[in-house]
Amino acid sequence: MKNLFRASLARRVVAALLVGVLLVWPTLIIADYLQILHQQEQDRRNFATSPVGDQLLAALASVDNTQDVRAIAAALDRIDNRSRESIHSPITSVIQIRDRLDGRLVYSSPAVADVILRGEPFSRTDQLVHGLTYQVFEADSSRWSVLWGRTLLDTPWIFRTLAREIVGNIAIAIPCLLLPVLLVVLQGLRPLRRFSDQIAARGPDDMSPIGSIPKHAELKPLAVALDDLLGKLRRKIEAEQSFVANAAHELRTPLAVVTAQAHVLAKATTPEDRDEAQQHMEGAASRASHLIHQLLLLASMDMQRPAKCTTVDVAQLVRQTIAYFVPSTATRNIELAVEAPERLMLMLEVESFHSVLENLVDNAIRYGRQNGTVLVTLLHRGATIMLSVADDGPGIAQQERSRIFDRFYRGERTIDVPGTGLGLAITKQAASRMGGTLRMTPGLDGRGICFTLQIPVPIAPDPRVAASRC
Amino acid sequence: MHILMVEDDLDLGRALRQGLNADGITGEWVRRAADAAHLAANATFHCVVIDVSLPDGTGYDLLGQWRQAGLNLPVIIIPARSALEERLVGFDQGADDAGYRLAS
Repeated sequence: MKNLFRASLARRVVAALLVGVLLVWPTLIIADYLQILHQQEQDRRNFATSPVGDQLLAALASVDNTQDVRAIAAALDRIDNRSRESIHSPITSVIQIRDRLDGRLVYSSPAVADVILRGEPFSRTDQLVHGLTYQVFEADSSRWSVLWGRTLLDTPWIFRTLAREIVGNIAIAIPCLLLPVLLVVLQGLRPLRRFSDQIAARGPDDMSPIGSIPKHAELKPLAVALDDLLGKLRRKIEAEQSFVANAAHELRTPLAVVTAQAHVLAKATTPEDRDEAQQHMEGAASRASHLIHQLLLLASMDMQRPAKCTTVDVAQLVRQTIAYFVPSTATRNIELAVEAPERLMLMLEVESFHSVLENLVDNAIRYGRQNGTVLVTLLHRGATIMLSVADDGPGIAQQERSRIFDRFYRGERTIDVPGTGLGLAITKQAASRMGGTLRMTPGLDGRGICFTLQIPVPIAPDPRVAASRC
Repeated sequence: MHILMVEDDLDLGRALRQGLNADGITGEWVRRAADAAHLAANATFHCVVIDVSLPDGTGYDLLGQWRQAGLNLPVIIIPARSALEERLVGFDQGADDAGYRLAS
């Protein structure tokens, strides 16, 4: 039973057909009924005389004898009613014949024996007798006046009869219609079944494109969409694999340094050599630790976890972060400046915002010009928060710009600056977590590079606090 | 023994050089494939150690060029990953040994 109500396209088509056929039934009944009513109305108008009356009149044309008239009328009366009984018609008919010479009733059907039917020659009158309405037709010859009356069809009878008749036809029609439809539907769904078999047969690691895309208009979009999805998954898995491989390679490097320095340490003869080896080992350990921190940060931002938003004074946050970086500007004599409003309350994921700021400023200090300037600007304009970090360094070559956000990608001119190649990847990930975008424009005085983070902040209920995508 | 080392990583290059020096092995250290090609053509080394990933190409490309040019120095490739596949690529290009990372 459960199986019967399971969603199925084939079942749906068959059910629709059944409903359609069943709808034909009442529709036909109503149509036939209206036609019958129309026919009866037509009859009322057109039949000034009655067929039975005419026949009777013709039969009586050469009869003078009332005895014979009675016999003929009784016979015809019986024939008329019997023939109707045989087809279960609810119509009854009556005959009365009067002698025009003396006006006497010569014959009357038993049903109306106690009533005188009134008629109008060659016309029709309706007359109520014993609760039945008769349509009375009168036809006169020179001697006999013939009145023939018949009842009309009653509505329930018409409906009963039509319903019986049509239901029989439909009972024959249903299997005749269903069989070919069922065959066509099952046959028609075969490509779908083949297609799903083809997909089901694939192994868990099989991300290759679907070889044969079905040509059917209904299946093709599904196959194309699936192919598209497989392509995306394939690229994602490839990216993940290369990320893991790159991460492993990057982690091995500081470990290799530790191993080599351990060797140096073992062979060192002077305290100076030992100190140097120890320093390099510590450096390698902190490099590995920094890399692991960045990998974890990237992984945590990768996850589809919801943003953890808090309300914070972003202007204050920017100034604090800049202050933290000031000591590291000394070695390359870089001037680090900040332009921010006094106070800017914003609801956002602080961790993400801080990551963007930290990585951009760190990059600007490390890759900017010696004795150069780094300017950090925070702006709230309309429904957008803009954070930009601009330097006046060598900038980024045009052909490198499309790749600098790739994980582990390092610019060609960065060979002498230590780094993991993950900073900008983290920055981009953090920006998109906040629903923001990163733009690259020329830096200060038309030199260097300027990264701008834009976060949309819809107008919040509390006008003092703007909220990013939280 | 005098070797040529092609390694772009500053820390690792320095550490390797110091480690080798401690064992009495001297050599030149370069960080780009282009510099290595120049040196290899103009000096005599007993052996070359090449890192696979270099800023201006891969160690395999460099090795392939040398082998084509008929340079028959013994070469040790330091693969980025220890996967067998990658070590075999090295051998295909003519490496004499594709060692694991020193740390592994």
